[in-house]
Amino acid sequence: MLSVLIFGPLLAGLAVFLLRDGRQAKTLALVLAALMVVWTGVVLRRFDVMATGMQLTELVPWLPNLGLNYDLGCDGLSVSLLALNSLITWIVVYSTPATVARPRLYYGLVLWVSGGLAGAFAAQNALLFVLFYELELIPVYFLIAIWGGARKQYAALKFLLYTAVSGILLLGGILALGWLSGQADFAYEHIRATVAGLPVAVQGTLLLTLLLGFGIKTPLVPLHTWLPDAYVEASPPIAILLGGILAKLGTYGLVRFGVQLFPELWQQWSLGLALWGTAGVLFGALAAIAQKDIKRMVAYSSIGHMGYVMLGCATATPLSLVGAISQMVSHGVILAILFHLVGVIEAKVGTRELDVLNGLMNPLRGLPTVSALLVLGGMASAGIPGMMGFVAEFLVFQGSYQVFPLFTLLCVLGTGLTAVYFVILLNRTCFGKLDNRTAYYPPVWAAEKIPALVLAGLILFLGIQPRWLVQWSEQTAQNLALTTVAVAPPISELLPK
Amino acid sequence: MMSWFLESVWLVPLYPLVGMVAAAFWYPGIIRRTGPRPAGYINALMTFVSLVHAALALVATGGRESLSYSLPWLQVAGLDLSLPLVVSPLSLTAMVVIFGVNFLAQVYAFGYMEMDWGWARFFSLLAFFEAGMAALVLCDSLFFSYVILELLTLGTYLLVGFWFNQPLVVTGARDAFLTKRVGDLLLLMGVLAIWPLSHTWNFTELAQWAAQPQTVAYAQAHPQVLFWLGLALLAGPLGKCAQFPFHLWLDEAMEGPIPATILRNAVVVLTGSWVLVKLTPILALSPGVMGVTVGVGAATAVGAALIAIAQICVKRTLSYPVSAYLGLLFVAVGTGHPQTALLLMLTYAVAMGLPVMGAGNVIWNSITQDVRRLGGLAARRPVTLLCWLVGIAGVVAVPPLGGFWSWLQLVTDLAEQSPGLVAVVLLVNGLLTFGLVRVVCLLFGNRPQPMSQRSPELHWPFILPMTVLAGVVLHMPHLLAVTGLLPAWQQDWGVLLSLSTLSGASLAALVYLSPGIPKPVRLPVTSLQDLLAYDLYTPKIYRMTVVGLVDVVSRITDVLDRYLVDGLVNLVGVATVFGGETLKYSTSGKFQWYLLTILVGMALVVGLAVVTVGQS
Amino acid sequence: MTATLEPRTKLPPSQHELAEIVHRLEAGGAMVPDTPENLMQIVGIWYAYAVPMDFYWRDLLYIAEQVFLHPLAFHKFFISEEYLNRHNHYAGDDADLRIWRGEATAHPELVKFIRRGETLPMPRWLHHLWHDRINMEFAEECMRAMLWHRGMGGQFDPYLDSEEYKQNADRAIRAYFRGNPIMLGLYRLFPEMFLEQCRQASYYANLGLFWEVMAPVFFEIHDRYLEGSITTVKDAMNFIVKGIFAVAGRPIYHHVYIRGECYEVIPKAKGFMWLYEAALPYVEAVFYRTSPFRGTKSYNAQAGMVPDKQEDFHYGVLYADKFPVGTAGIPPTLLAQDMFHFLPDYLRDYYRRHCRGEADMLVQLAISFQRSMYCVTSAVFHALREALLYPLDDPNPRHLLANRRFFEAQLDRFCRPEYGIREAARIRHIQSPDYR
Repeated sequence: MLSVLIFGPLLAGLAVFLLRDGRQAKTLALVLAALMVVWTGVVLRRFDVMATGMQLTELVPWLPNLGLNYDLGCDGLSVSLLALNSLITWIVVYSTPATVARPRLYYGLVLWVSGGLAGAFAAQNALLFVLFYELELIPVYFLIAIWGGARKQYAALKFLLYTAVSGILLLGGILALGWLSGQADFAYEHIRATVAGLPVAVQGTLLLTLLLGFGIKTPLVPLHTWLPDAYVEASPPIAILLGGILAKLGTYGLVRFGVQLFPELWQQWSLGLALWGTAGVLFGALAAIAQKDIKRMVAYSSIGHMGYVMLGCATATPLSLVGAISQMVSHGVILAILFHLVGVIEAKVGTRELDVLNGLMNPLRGLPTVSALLVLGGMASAGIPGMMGFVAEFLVFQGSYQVFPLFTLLCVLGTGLTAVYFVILLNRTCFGKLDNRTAYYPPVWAAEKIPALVLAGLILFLGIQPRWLVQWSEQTAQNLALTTVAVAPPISELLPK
Repeated sequence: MMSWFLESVWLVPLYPLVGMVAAAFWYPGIIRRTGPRPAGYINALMTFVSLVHAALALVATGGRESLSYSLPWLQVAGLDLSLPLVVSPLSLTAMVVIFGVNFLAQVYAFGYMEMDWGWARFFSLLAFFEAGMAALVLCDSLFFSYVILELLTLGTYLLVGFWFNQPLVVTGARDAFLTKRVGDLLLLMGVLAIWPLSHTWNFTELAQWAAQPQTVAYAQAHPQVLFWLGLALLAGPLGKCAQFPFHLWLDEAMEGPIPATILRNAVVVLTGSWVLVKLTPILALSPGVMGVTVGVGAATAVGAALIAIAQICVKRTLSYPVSAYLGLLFVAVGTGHPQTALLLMLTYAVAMGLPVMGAGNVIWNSITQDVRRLGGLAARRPVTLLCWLVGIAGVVAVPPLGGFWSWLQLVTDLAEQSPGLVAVVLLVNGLLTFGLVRVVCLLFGNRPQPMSQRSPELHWPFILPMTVLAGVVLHMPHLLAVTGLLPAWQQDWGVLLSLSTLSGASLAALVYLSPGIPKPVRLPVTSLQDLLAYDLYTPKIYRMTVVGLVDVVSRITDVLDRYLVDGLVNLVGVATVFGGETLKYSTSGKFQWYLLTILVGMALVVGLAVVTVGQS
Repeated sequence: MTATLEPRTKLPPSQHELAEIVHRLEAGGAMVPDTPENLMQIVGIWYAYAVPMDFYWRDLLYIAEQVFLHPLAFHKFFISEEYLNRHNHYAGDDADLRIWRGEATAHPELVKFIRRGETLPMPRWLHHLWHDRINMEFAEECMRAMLWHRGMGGQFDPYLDSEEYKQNADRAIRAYFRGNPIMLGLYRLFPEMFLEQCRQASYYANLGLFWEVMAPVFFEIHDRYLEGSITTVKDAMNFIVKGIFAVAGRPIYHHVYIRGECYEVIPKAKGFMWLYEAALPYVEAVFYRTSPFRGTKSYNAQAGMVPDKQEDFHYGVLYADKFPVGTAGIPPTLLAQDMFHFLPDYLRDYYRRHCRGEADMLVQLAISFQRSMYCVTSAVFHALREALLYPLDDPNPRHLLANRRFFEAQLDRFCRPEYGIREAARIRHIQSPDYR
């Protein structure tokens, strides 16, 4: 069941790589990606939103004496991210220009990354997770280094080094975890069962190690400095891949390893963690306001949005966790549409400079559809109701307020700042007048609009009918929840009879 | 049959949405060979259908209990968000007003926008507003009210930004959006903060909750909590109603087209006060908040009325009275008279559209919006003049028109509590009258200026809606009487109000019509005149405070990020940096480094394996 | 005539910043570079302009003479058959002066368009509602510009304030509302309001009579271009100059027909001349001044974007930014759309080959239109020079200097710094073929 999502892309990636004719590469990759989306649909149908615990599990012993088994399964968290993964992969493949250099290598790598991610999300064995986590590293490095922008070498190297460090931290942490817990294998539930027994100091060290590892990946301020370079230098599709889904490995880890494996400690640290998240929200938003490059602006926006996830995880109430998981998905989708549109603008206008761009909303000579969708994407990211971003953020806020009122209010302030830089972006790029001497831009073809249209439809649908966004993770959140704020009794009971 | 209209009234907000979607076909590039006007006709039709439906439903209510539905929206992890709708004579009246004004505004747009190619965008945005406002008056939930207000904020951004090629439109749309958004987010904070206390967002239940003895006791025990909560909730209406210090956006929103202005000045701004009225029981829990409400309201009323007098742009002279008048609503609510506030809203919404329409008529073919360059239009444009005067008379206290009665109600209410406020109200009435009459005198009195020498009256899309609306305004007292909303006549207050109006009007006429006084009129104190003319320098104040702060902090953050953080984190692994520098040139080097990490990892794994095996 | 004139400047080169253009004018050329591509655009767009113009002038006269002061003129764009078949005085066999060799009634393409539009044959009110029609609104806007901008020379405008005019108007108004006590009562109450309406109607007539001449001129130029007897921009321009002189004396009047009876609000006998009372005010009001587009300029009085004096207005076709055409708040879009229906095939193909082809054709043709109007303006310059100054081949250098002063004075209007007029003027853009 889940293995298909892993080995489908991996094998297809191989096939694409071995193709004789590069021109067929995109076709094949596209077909496979579409099949994966369909298969994800099947998985979602099989997935029982009411059931607690892991579903669709698969277990194949591999290196038992290493405690390394091929152990798959998914709960609300995994299945949400698996779905996101398939969608984003399709978008990435589709939105790659047909003229991309060395297509076979390119699509092969993209598919490998997708498969690796699916593996990481589905793995129920910590060691297996780390292997998949490392597996996705090298391809991404090449994707940036070969198909990136002007400073791609630097950006790719920076990405590689940071992620390698995070990889080592994770590996070390997890090995130590398994070692200390003296468990036969690295299955999550086994580890979870024993972690509680460890001395607090040891737990602390381990959790800190893991936090740093995932914090780099997410990224959390101040471990984020690889992100702007990587996102900006990467070509738009790769930026979508990085921001849309790859970064979710970090947030996934925070929940899976942090909340799930270290409940008591996590709860003790929650104040600091919430502070960490809030700092990220404000830092990201403020830094974004100061940017002059729209791609960089969007990149910083994603730092801010990861902060909401962190806040939700830190609070760890059922509601805030649902919010955090929904935020992972909605951020993935919204960031994807934003990066795609920014990419189109750069391709047509030839610049990303806020001070140069102007008047793209012009219906005949501008990029009207792109501008309209950019407004939608920006507003969704700024948390305007009616779009999926609002649902996720609101659930985080509502879930966290009773535990961390101050931080929650600060994060609400953060959404205000988000609105500030998106309005700046929209005003400069979409509004205003086209220059009579320079503004002869090529038109945007329908094919270039389709990914954005698909994502926009999704954003609106899940914003108006959020049930389909939150239902997957509701049970999981209930299980993972550490603090359950008393659910409100109906007002009728408060009223004097 | 009639009852069907009542039960199906939840359909009404959907009609405009249909028109909105239909209009999309005329976006540029879709239907290219013919023009975009059908988009407008369809939307006007939809508005008319909604109007009829709402009106019939209103007839059908005849003294019946208000119905309420609840549409489930989202239930997750113990949070149940259902959309409660309440259909009461009040909400239906509000809907009739909304759709009535909107329909007239749309017909007016047929004329005013007759040379505009953006009909599709324009009319679908108007429809968006209609739908939002109709939903707002129907919905009985604080949370969903917030949601709708937020959506209307976005709508304002797009509607003000309609003429996006125009520089001031761009900044105006931005400022309108951000100012309102600040209010909305503070409101959201309030929404979040009230939940733990009330465990409900349903207005009806909130009212019940606020009435409970334990709630009152709690409020007395923790005045601070209720105060800040109340302030947060108050911020939303403050932003929407363009009250100090959130008033600047309305001025800048005047860059938009007149038909949109009609809608905004007459009804859209009232969305804020509508929510305010619904919030009254909660605000009332904290005397401090009530005090702030009154204070801000009174300050805005007086301040904006003064600013209006100093404006030279005819649209601005009509936008500041809006803030001023809405200030009185805040006073009414702050003194605990929501019913009076509703009455004021009703008479205001009907009448305020008229002066805007009149101004539109003049600037449409006399081009300039500068009151100093117009004049002497009375003889050639009597229809506009008369309707404009009717509008003014309907807004300020001129017996026996509608406005007079709501003012009278307000004064009688306040008289019991604080004579000081009565004085303020009388003053504001006088100032408003002065300001509004001033414009009329400058435009229609005196000698024609070059730009107003050739100024024929306009064709039917301008004249018909204006005259129809004037007719409604003139019948307002009758409507109030039949609906039993007409307040009791108060001899002395009535006389006082009439006097304040009279003095304001006659003073304005004296100053601006008498040839003795040179035009443009200058105050002896130039600095004061500039202070008012430039809106108390609010733009500067913004720039020096909030805007400046955000700007500076964001720059600092950026610098921190570029140098400090990046540097630090790189320092964490000096090897990294060196590695980075040295390895940059030798591609193989990267792999050595990377392989090293993998090897270390694998070594650990193996070691672990050995250990585990050894143990077993 | 100036048509065959080899440029020989006895004068030192002009020091004007637009010296190149000054020299071109002195050589009898136009402000637009004389290239075949420009000629093709100009002549083609003139044809596309003349077809709707054939409707404009008919409808304008219909409104001036038949609709007159109707308070609810829902039907003012539903022109009667009589006016569709009304004979143009400068075309057809019974013409006063046959400028165009085609028919005198409405142009066949126009008739075809009115019948089936861009969609399908429908009753006219359906075409109207579907906005599948000629946009008269912009023609009316040109009329309003002429009415509102004053002091552009001529006797017509002052005459509207004379006692004589008021009496003529009064007679017409009383006759028009005979048997309508309400309107007569209103007229007694507000006579000035009705009088002002009548003045506006007189300008309807004025503009209608002006365009009645221009349409055949453009048609004829197009025909000659296809025949090959017009081969340069200069030829086209000179044909207009000739036309201007040929019809300069055409009377401008305003007759109203009420129940079949003709009321002469402005009798032909007043002897108002086409050139001075219609053509020149039109050029001044429409080519140079008009009023700011609400879509691009703020009317906020405090912002001071709109000039204080009407003579500083500079929003006509010679200054307009054409890129926003098709966007909200850009009135000329209506004209562009009208021309869009009637583009000759060679021009349509030309646009298809450039920029975004079909997608931004409105902008492309609007820019061609701007070029062509610079050509018309050049014709006006030459006409005025002929009328007031000296021939281009005048042997006397002082005379040539006077000519140069005149041309430079005209070009100075595109170089004024106030209100960014200099940047707004598109004369520098149209010198390059890449501005499209």
